[in-house]
Amino acid sequence: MAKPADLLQGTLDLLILRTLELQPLHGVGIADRIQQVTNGVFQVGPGSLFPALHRLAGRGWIAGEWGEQAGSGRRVKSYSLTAAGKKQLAAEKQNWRTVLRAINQVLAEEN
Amino acid sequence: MLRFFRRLRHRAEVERDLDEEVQSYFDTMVERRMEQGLSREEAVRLTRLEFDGPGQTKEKVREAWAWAAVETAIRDAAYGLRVLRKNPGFALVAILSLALGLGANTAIFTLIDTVMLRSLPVTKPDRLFFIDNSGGKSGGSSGPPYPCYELLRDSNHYFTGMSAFSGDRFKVTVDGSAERMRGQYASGSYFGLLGVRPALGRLLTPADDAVIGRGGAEGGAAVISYGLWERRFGGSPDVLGKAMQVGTSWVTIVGVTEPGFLGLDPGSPVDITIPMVLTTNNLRGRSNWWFSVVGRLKDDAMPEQARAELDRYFHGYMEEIGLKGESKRYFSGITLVPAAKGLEGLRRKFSRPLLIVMTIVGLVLLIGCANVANLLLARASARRGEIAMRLALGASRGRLFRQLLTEGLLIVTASAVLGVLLAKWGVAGLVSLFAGVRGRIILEPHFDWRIIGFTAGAALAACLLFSVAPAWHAVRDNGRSSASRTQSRMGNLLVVIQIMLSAVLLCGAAFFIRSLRNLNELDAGFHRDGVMTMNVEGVFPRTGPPTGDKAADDKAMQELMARRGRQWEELLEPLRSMPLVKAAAVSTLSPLSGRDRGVLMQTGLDDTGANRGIHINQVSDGYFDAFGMQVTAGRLITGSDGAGAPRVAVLNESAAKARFPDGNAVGRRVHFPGQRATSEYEIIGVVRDVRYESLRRPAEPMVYIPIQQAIDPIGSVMVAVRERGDGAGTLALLRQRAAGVIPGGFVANAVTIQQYVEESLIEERLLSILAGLFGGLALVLALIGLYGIMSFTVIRRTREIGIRIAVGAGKGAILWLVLRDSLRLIGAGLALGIPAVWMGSKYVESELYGLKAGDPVTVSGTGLLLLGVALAAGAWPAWRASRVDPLVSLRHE
Repeated sequence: MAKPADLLQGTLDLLILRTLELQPLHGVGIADRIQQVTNGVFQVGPGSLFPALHRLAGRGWIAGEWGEQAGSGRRVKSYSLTAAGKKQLAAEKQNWRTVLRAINQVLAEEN
Repeated sequence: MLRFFRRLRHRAEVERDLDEEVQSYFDTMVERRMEQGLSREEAVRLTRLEFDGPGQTKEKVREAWAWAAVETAIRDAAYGLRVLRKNPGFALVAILSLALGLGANTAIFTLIDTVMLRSLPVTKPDRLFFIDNSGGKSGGSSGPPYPCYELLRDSNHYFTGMSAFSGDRFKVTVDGSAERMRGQYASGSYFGLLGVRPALGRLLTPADDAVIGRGGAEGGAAVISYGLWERRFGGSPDVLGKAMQVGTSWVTIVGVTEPGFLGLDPGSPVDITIPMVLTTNNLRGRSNWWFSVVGRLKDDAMPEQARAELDRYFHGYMEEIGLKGESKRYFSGITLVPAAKGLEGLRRKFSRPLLIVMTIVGLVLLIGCANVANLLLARASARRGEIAMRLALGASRGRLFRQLLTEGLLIVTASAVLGVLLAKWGVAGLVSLFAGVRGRIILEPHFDWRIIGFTAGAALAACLLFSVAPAWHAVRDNGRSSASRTQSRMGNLLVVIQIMLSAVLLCGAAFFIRSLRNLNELDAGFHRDGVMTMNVEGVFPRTGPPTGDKAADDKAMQELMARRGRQWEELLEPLRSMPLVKAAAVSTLSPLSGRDRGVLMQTGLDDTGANRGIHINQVSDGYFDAFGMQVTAGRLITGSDGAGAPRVAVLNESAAKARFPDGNAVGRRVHFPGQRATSEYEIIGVVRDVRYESLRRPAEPMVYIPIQQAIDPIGSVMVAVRERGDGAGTLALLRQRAAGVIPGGFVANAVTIQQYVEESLIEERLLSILAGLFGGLALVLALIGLYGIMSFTVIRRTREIGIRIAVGAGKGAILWLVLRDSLRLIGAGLALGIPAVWMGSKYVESELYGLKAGDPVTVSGTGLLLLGVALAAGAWPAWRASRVDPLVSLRHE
């Protein structure tokens, strides 16, 4: 039995990888972008964002680098997708589509 | 290990990094809220709420880090445990076969560590050297005469100090009761030189060693061991100042040595140390060689330059005392023998047997590993489906590999824990084997990090050996068709190796057991059954100083010797009247009980060189009868050969042949120069040779003379009693009698001749007991392996067998089909094993007795035995195969 949290965790990983596919971003940027793209459906708080980022970094899918933030001049750590991350993202996308298709079929049968 | 530290350092950096990252996020959010028009406090409050506190967020991140590593390990372990629980038979066989192997290795290593590896518990043991003067052959047991030692000690430039010491078995009287204790005489500087500290009181100092025959200013001081303090004095501080009698000297206990210090002779722990000046040996004797010397080399001194300097002084001394000829050859120069591990007697005697046993237990562990590997292989093949599925589902090979290894680690950890427990028990058994009835060799093994480290290392090596191949194999061949064939090929190879190794071990065991039996059945010239010997000691007052009148002194001495002889014989009277006693005698020596110093004997014929030395035994009437020794010429010693009767002697055959080559010893006269007794002795008979020192060595020349005509005042004797009872009554009676007729008399130990035989065969017994035990174990493990692989083969081929039966194959044909496979494995194992046995037995030939390396009877006998039992182990699966019901087996698929 998969708990909803498991599903969400997997989803969050996918969302972060996808977000970083377009451009490297720092923590706040990632949260902003996800919120923006999903029209506010997913609001990622720091309490789940940071563990997720470090988990992904630990698996070698993303890499963090310190730099200056344009404008404020604050030191921030921005993350970018690694080669392994790109592969993983492709796999997860595929996986997600498979799951989605399957669920859709199940739902379609209902009607 | 290094990685661990690097990770610790790395960890701090990572933490700082995380702090900064979280702080940066926090600041950005606060800023953004302030831009939206909130006050700073409000913005901080809201942001903090969002975080559930920054600390908690960071904690969650940390968890995410740690989890990744721990999670996999725990998951693997839990999975492994589940798998093992589901297959309790598998787990049991695997864990037991490894635990026995690991336990045996740990036990033997503990013994090797105790006997061969451990350094003395003293300060900087590697700077200590024995100063040996006999060309290094005696391993530090022989130092120079005392005056020469003083010369070396006082004139050298390379040692911080030197001490003389000499082990002895003291007669110690405490609170009116006398007993034998292991002790030593030692220079006052001894403890300081070694760096031994007191546990109580003080240790000896040079001041205690000042006056010959007296000790220090307050008389003789004694230092006792921690063990004796606890054992004999209950660890009470009142022991300080206690007076006791060592031999005839009175000494006062001044201190207790720290626990762990047992002296410099491994296997012979010293319980009492008294100053060198209290010795009964002649310290002023310029050519008396009887003690050992230990010295501590200065930190910047080279052993060779120190040796060269001592050698010069030594040769100067030898010139001065004018020693020449024979003796000079034995004392040819000074050598320095490293003393870090103590005197080498025990090490030299047991190194070889222990290394042989270590090889044996190593092979047993190897066989155990092969067994577990085989079980894992069979399992891996049964789980092929599962593994293939997991690989297909995207599990990485490395991940699966690690998981299979975790299973191996679980097995090996359980085995190691069990093994250490077994080892502790085994070591206790081995220690008592070494001690024997008389406590001859006392070993005190330590279970410490070295032992644990060894076991852990052996366990890890075993784990790698038995799990890497199957794990690699399982992961590599994910479901390909060849998998099961390579699996069974590898399994077959393992079984062949097992059979080969157990052939080697079984043959080794047979060799050692046969040697022991040869020694046990050997005719050593004396009866072994029903004879008990008891060692009776006396504490006699010192004889007065010489009066100067040589004739009077001589006469007094002759009277003293005769009186002693009569006193010793008086011990026997009540024993001889006991109904169960068939014979009773006293003697200075009995077979295998120890050694005499030997004397010179002159015959008036060819008395030159080494030929003159002879062993001597001074015996009462009845001695030869008690041991069943047979006369070959003339007559034996009787009760009428007393102090006043004509002096007589009996030779053994070797002595008669060596000294009287014309064959007519009886009637000739001999005398013993340099002894207290000056008269001539007439040879009245010849007795058969008896092996006194060791069953392995042929008898040496020996002369027997009546105890009342002794050549020296006798201080202790062996009482030998041949009887039909169990000896308890005799012992009690003798105790009472000894206290009655002998001054300070007591019975030191009571040992049957059979026990002496066992004690003297300790190396052989060690080898044959352990080789037998482990040879049997190896055989059982190999049989389990063979049985396992054959059962597995039968299961795999059930369908094929079913078809064969269906098309008309008879039971016999099927039986043969399977049996042929086992036969092939056994044959291959034996074909490899027999050459290995042949080479291996060369290596142990020096330990054998009465048979040659590669003895064909032993080898073929064990080969046949192995073939027989191995066939039996293979027969059961074959029989099952012949009972396969073709319908059932085909429907199954």
